[in-house]
Amino acid sequence: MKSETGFDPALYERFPTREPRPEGELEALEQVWCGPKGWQWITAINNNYVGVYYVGAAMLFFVLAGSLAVLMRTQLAVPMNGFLPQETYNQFFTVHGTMMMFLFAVPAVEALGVLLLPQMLGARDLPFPRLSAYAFWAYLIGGLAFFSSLFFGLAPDGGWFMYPPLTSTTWSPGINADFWLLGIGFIEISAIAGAIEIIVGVLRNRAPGMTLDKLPIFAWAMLIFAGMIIIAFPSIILSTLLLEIERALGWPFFDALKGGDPLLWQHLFWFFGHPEVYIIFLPAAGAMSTIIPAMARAPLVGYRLVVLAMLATGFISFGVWAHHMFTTGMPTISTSYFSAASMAVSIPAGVQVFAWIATVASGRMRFTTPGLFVLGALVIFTMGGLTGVMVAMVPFDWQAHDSYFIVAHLHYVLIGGMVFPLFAAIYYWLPMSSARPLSERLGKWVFWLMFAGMHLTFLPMHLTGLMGMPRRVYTYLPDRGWEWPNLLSTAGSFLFAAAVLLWIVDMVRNFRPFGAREAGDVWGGPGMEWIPTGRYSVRSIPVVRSLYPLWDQKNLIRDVVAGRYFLPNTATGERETLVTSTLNAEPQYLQRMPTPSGWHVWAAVFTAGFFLLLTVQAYWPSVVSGVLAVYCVLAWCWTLDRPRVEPTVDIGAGIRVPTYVSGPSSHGWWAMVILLIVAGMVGALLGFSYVFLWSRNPGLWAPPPGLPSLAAVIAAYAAAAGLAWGACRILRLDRPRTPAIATLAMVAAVAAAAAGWWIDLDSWTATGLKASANTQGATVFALLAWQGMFVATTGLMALYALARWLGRQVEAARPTTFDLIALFLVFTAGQGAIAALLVRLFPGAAG
Amino acid sequence: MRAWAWMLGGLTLWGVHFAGVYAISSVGDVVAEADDPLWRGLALGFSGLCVLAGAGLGWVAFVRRRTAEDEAQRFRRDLAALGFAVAVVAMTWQALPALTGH
Repeated sequence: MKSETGFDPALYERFPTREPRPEGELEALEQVWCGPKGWQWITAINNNYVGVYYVGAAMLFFVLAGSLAVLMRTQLAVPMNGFLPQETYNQFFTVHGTMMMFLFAVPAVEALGVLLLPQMLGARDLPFPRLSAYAFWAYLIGGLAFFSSLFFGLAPDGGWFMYPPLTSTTWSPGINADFWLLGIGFIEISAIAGAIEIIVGVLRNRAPGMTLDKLPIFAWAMLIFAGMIIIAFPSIILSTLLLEIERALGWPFFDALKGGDPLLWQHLFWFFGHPEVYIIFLPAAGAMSTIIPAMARAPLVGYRLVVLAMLATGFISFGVWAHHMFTTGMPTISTSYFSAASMAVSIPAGVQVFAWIATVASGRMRFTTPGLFVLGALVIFTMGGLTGVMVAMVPFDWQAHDSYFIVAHLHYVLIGGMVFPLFAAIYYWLPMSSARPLSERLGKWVFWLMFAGMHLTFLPMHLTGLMGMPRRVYTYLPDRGWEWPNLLSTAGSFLFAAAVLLWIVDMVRNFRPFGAREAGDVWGGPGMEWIPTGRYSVRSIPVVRSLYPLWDQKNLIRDVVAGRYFLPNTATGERETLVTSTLNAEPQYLQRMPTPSGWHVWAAVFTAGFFLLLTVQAYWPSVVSGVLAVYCVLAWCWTLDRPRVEPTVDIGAGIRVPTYVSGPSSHGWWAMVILLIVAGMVGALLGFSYVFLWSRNPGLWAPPPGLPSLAAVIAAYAAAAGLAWGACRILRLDRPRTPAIATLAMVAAVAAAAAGWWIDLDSWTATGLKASANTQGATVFALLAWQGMFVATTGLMALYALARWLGRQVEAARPTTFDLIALFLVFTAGQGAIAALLVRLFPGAAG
Repeated sequence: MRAWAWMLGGLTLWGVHFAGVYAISSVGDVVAEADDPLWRGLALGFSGLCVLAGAGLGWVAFVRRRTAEDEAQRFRRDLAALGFAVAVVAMTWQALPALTGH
C-alpha cells in the first residue's frame, strides 16, 4: 500500500506481537483510566460514562416531549374538548416539537456517537473528552431549564419554527419567545461542540489500517452528520440572534414596517431546518446499515453505493430548504429548482433502502428485537418517503400545506427514520454497556405496541389532513368528518405511550451499566465495538484489515485483549490515544488526553446561567455568570498545552511516534479550523441577509462611508494578521527572548485588529446611520457587532497569552497555544476585512 | 486535502450548480423577472457548462479508477467516479426547470 505520511505499512506485519507482555502493564492502564468515585461521577469525562449519561438524557427528553404529545392527543380526541386551554395547548405543541428536534433527535444520535465511536474506531477515547462532557452538561442544564418554563407559563408558544411576525414583540410580548430564542441558541453550542469532537475523532483517531474503505458505515454516517451540523447549525444560531436582537433592541431584520422581511427568517430557519431532517436520519441510517448485516449475518450489500448515497444526501439536503416555502409566493422557477432537488433527494434514500432489503434477502435474517425494529423502520420510513415525494410537487404541496397531512408525513419520516432505528440501536448495543441485555420478550412487546401505535396515530392523519383539518389548532367543530380519524389517532398515541412505558420497565429491570463486566457480543456482531473493553476502551489498538474485523480477522479478540497490538500500555503514564492520518489511518503521534476536573462542569453551569439570566432580563447577574463561564473555560484550557515529556515513545513492536505535534497536523488545529468554519458560516449568512434585505428595499440604502476609511480598516486588519503570523514564527526561533517578543507581537496583533474594528465602527457612526432606523443600519451594525465579538475574544486570548508568558508557559517546544491564537486572529482579520468590503462596495461605494 | 476534494468533486460540483441556478433566478427576480428568457438562458448556459465539466472530470475519474494501486485508493477513486456520474444526471435534471420555464 502507498504510504500517506511516510509511515511504512509493512510495519503492520509485526502485529500481533509474540513476546510476553510485561507484568503490571494492564494494572497501570486500569489505574490511569480508573472510574469515578463519589462526586467524580459528575466530573467524569470518559466516553463510557459521558456517552451513557448523554443517551440517558436524550431519552429523558424523548419521554417528556412524548408525554406532551399524549396530552395534546387527549385534547384532540373529540371535538370542542376542554381538556387543555388554548394557551397551554400552544405551549405544548411548541415545546413538543422543539424538544423532539433540538433536545432529543440530534443529541440522541450525537450521544450514540460519543458512546460508540471510540470502541468502533479502536480509540481509547474521542480527542476532546472534556468538550464532550461540557456539551453534555450544557445540554442537560439548558434542556431541563427549557422544559421547566412550561410550569411557569413561560414556555414559547409560536410553533417550533417560531415564524415572525407572530413571534415579534407586537404579537408575542413577554419572555416566552425569548426562552426559545436564547435557549435554542445555547443548546446549539452543545451540538456544535459534539460535532467538532466527532469529525476530528473519526478522521484522526482511527485504528491503524482502518482506511476509508474499512471505515464502519456508522462512522461514515456520523462523519457526514457532524459535517452537516457544522454547515447547517450556524444558520439557526444567526436567525435566533437576529430575532432576539430585533425583539430586545428594535433592530429591524424581519419587521416589514422598517424595510425588513419575515421571509428572511424562513430562509435562514429552513436552511438549517431541512438539513436537520437528514442530520437526524443519517446516523440512524448508519445504525440500520450496521445492525441489518449483524442480524442477517451477511455483509451490507453495496457498501460503496451506500457511502456515496449518504454523502449525496448530505450535499443535496442543503438544496431543498425552500420546499417549506412553496406557498410564500417565491418565483415559479425558483420553486421548481427546489422541487426538483426535493424529488432528487429520494434517490440516495432509495439506494439505502434497497441496500437494506438486499442485505436482508442475501442473509438469514433473525427476527430479534433489534431485527424487528430495523424492519419496522424500513417500512415506516419508506411510507414517509413516498408522501415526501408527493409534497415535493408544488401543486400538491399548495393543497396539503399546514394541514394534518404534513403532520402525518413528518412523523412517518422522523419515527421511521430515527425513532425506530434508535430503539433498534438501544436493543442492539446496550449489551456493550450493561451487565445484562434487555429482555427479548418485553422487547418484542415494545416493538409491536409501538409499530401498531405509530400507524394507528399517524395513518389517519393523512385523511384528516386531506379532509382539510389544519395543524396547530387546539380543537375543532363537530360534523366535519374529522371525529373518527382524530379518535383513532388518540387511541394510537396511547398505544405508543404504552410501548415506551414498557421499554422503561425493561430498562429498569435489566440495564446495569458501569459494572466490572458487560453482557458482550450477544448478537455475533462484526464491529470492533464488540471487543471486550475496560474503561480504557480496547486493551491494545488493533491493526484493522477488514470492514468486518471480528468476522474476518481470526483471533483478533484474543490478541487485542492480550495486548499484542498498538499501545498495550500507557506509554507516558497518562491517558493517551493514537492519532492517525485521515485517509489511510497511519500512526502519526501519541495524543496525551486530559484527566477529569470540574472546570468543564462549572463552565457549563455558568454558560447556562448566562443565557437563562439573560432570558429573564437579570442583566447584571447574567454578565457575572458569563464572566465566570469564561474564567472556567480559560482554567480548563490552561492544562491543555502541557510541557513535553519524552520526544518520542514506543507504541508497540518498537515503533516510535512523537508525543507532541503542532500546526496543521495536530488535532487542536483541526478543531480550531472546524470552529472557524462555523463562525465563517454565520458571517456568510449574515452577508446573505444584508444582500437579501437590500434586494427587498434598495431605495432605503444610504451611501456608505468614504473609501479612505475602508483603506484604513483593511490596513489595520492586514497588520493584525501579519503580526499574529509573525508571533508564531518568532516563537519558533527558540532564543532566550523570543517568548517575550512573540507575546508582545501577539498583543500588538490584537491591538491592530481592535483598531481596524474601531475605525470601521466610527466611520459608520459618523454617517448618522442608526441600527434601529432601517434594514441597512440593522445589518451593518449586526455585522459590526459580530466582528466586535471576535475582536473581544482575541482580546481575551491576548490576556491569556500574557498570563501564560508570566507563568513561563510560552516556549518554542510547544507552540500550539500561539498557533491557535494566531489562526483565530487571522480569521478575525479576514472576516473583518471581507465584511467591510461588502457593506461599503455593495450596492455601490460612496463617491 | 486533494484526495478529499477529488473524492467529493462530483457532489461539490452538483452543489455549485444548484447554488448557481438559484442565484441566477434570484438575481433575475431582482433586476427583471425570475423566469425572464434571458435569465433562463443564462441558467441553461451555466448548467451546460457544469454538465460538461462534470462529464469531463467524470471521464478522468473513470480512467484514474483503473490505475488504483491498492484497495483503499480504489475505493476513493470509485467514490469520485460515481460522484461525477451522479452529478451529471442530477445537474441535467436540475436544469429542466430553466429549459421548460416553470
